[in-house]
Amino acid sequence: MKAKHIVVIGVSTGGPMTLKALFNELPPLNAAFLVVLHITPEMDFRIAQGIAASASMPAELAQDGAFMKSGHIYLAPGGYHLKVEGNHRFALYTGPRVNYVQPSVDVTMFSFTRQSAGQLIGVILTGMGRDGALGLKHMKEIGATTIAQDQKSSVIYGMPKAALETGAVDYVLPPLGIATKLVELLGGG
Amino acid sequence: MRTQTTKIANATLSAALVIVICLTIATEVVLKQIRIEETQEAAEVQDHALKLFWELYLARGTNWSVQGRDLMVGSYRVSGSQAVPDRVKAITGSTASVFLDGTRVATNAFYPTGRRAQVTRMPADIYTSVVGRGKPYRGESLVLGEKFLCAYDPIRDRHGNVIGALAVGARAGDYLVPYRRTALRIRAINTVLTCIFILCAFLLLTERRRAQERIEKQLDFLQVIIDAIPAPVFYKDAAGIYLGFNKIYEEYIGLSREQMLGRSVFELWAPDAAEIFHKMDQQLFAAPGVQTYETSAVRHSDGTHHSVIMNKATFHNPDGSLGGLVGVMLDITERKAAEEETRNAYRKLADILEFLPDPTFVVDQERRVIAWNLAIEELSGVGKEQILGNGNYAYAVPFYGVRRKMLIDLLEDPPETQESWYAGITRSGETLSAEAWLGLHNGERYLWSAASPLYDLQGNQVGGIQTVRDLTDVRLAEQERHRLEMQLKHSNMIESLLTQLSHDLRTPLTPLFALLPMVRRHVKDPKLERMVALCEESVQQIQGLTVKALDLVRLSGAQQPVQLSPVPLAGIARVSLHGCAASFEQRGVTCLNEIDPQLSVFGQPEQLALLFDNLLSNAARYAADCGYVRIQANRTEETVTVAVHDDGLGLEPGHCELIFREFYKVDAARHDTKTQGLGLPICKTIVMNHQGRIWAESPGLSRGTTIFFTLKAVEA
Amino acid sequence: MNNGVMIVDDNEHIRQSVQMICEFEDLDLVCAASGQECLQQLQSGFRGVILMDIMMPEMDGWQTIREIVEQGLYRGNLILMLTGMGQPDSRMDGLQEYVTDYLTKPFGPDQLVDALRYYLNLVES
Repeated sequence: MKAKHIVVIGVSTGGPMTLKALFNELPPLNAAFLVVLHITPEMDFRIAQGIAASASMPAELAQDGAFMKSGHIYLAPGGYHLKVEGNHRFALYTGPRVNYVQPSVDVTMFSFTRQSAGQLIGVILTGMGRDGALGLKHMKEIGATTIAQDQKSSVIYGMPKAALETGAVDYVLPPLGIATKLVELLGGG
Repeated sequence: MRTQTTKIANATLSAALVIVICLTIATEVVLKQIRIEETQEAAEVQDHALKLFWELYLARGTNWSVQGRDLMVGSYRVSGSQAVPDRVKAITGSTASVFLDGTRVATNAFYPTGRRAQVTRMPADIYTSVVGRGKPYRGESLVLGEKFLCAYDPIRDRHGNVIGALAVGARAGDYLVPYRRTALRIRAINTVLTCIFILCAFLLLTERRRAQERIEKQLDFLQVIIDAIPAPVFYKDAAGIYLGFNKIYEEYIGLSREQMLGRSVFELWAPDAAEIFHKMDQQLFAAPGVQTYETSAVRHSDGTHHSVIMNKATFHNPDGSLGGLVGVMLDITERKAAEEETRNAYRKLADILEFLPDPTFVVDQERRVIAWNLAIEELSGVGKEQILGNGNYAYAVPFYGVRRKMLIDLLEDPPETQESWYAGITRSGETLSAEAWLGLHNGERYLWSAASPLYDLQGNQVGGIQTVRDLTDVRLAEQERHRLEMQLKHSNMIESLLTQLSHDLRTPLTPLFALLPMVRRHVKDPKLERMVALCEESVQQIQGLTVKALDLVRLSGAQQPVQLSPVPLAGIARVSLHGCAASFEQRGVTCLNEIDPQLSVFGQPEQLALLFDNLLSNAARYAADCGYVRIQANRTEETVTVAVHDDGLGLEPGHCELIFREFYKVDAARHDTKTQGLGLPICKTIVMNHQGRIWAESPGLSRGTTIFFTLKAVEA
Repeated sequence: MNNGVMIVDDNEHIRQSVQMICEFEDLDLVCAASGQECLQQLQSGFRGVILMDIMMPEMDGWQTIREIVEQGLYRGNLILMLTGMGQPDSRMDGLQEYVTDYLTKPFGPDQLVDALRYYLNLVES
């Protein structure tokens, strides 16, 4: 079953605690959540477990070739770039780092294409650097709703600021506000 | 002069020719006489020979007859008998021949071949005369192709008929030989003499001509020289008659040389000019020597009036008498024009000086003011008429109130002297400059001044020029700039100090932050717990201060201008509102965001968010309990005015500006440990970064406050 | 050796504060006063959550992380940075993946304990 709604979350430094705060607030929703966190292969599984522990939805590492399912949270594994083919199938890539990182939020966000039915939502949370800014702009251009974390709640206000500066951000919110906005956008189930 | 030379040459030549001709004629006459005498002498010799010839035949017979084809005298056959002719030859040396009729029948003449010249005939004319008419012939004739002096006598028979002739002759050459020799000698002498004569005449002539040419050349050269003089030159004799002049003089007069030579001034010049020249000439002749005078009466042939300097000098004849005068006219018309030009240029310079925007004055070598321009009149309050021509340091009075040395008086002084009058004098080349505060008629002014010596073209110092510039405004601006620079430096220092302090405070704050809650948690004594809580609050306040101070420093210290981009205003306010929701809830305050969601402004989102955070947290703090806060935005053309209104504390009149000062707190907030008095200064800094205005309005205490600020609107 | 917490900070008071809190919370804590000491602890077998101060003399936090990664000591650890400011730092480019979280000084005890427990849980699982 192809997921109807997709939420792509790009996050880096300060990510685990922020994700914990975000997913704590989210009820099970009719959407597939894809989290791209700058992480090493050593830690990715544990982080996914951490998310799973705090979320009301199951969380797991994205498997190469697997299909996205609604109501699931997927974490991009460390050491690979993650692309989503046809907006529903994971593909892992090796290759040079993008924006000094792997996985790169930009790579994942750029792999999405305009989709006719269902919502696309791009979120940039706390993190150092500029990764995800251009990706979020691309998301906006293909019809996605875009959200960036606010400065006050950001552990590191780097990536949200870079995203904001592209002018492609629809909402600037703290994690709790993002949760509320997601519930609102995705119709609470 | 040339004609004269030619005449002499011709006369000399003719004389030589005449002498030669006379000599030749005389010689020829003498020679002819000699020749005639020689010829007569020869004829007498021939007569004598013929007589002898006749006598010799008479000895043979007396009767001449022709028998047969032979001529006979008596019985002696004459024909073919050479004895008689030979005898004649032997005696006289003459040629002798006997002719029968016209034919030679006996002779001592020989052909060059050696054969006797018998049977030849006598010349026809002689035959006609002698034989035909029976007359003797004396004269020259050709015998056998040779010229001979001959004598022919007819031979008559007894009847008296001419039957032949006797002839003797001598070769012309023979009897003329002495004559010829003499003639040759005489002619030779004659020729030599003639040649010498002609040569002498020729040499004389050549010499004369050469001398002539030399003189002519000299004269030409003189003319060339005076022609080459670019000024009119002339010379006259003692009577004032023109003897010569150069080309330019001709051009001046406008007449040809021939028309002018031998004339007087009155014939060449207009009456007025002529009168002057004549009078001056007379004066010069009266007192010979050199004379110079200037006159403008000269009129050029082209009609223009000229000014000239006339230079004249007398010259004397070899005998010492006054010969005349030489004159040169120096045309100074152009020089006069140039002088006029220079005067104009000076006038122009004076005008320029007059209108020079820099106050300037000029003094002469005696330090008298000779120029005092408009700008300095204005600066000093002293008009030209009061100061021009004044010396004795009059120019110092408007500036110093007393007569004293100024820069212009110190140009040649040694540096120590200069320094005693002006501190910080600088010299650049010959220019001195200095600056000072001076009390002028219009108050204290800061003046900069420079002075330089003035030189004429020959490099002689003729005075000085001093220019003054009112630098009061510049000076004040400089001082202001300096003050601002110092201020900036100061604030930069404070900024970096503050930044460092805020950073450094975090380290000691960390244990307090980390440990105080732990302590409070484990303290059982309520008194102690309150004490710890107090400490905690203080630490919170310090932390708040460091954060806000850092914000303020960061915002105001922005080195590069803030990058402004379109920002949806309502969205930013909403985010802030969200952040302050807890504070609002706590006091039951309702907050209304009435900003049009379509409205966008040019701004920096981060700073605008901080602006709303501060304004809303203030509003939440000072709004009435269970009151309300309103956020409104009005767009007027390019500007959006945002108002954040609360219904609470309000402000005393006069506090509306104070609240934007750093660390200022209204009385009610003075003891509020949760506020630092930096919120509104931060807001002000942010609005300033956006080139907007921020101000507060309040009807009075307890009647609420509205904070307004403006931002640039984005075209919808 | 059980997984523990290591505080790497040149300020003794901060180390002691963290130590006291950990004692109250029964968390194993190892103190390192410099990047070198941190590396020594890792070489001696420490595994767990590392609280790393950025501003340290000689070898700062970023250099220390680089050394950890280059010496192959990262596996089994998780790094939380301690700093005074929440501003991006260009010196950390390429190190994002090794820094799991950021704690801003000053931090409260609950904030610290929550983070430590959460990440210890991740490391141990």
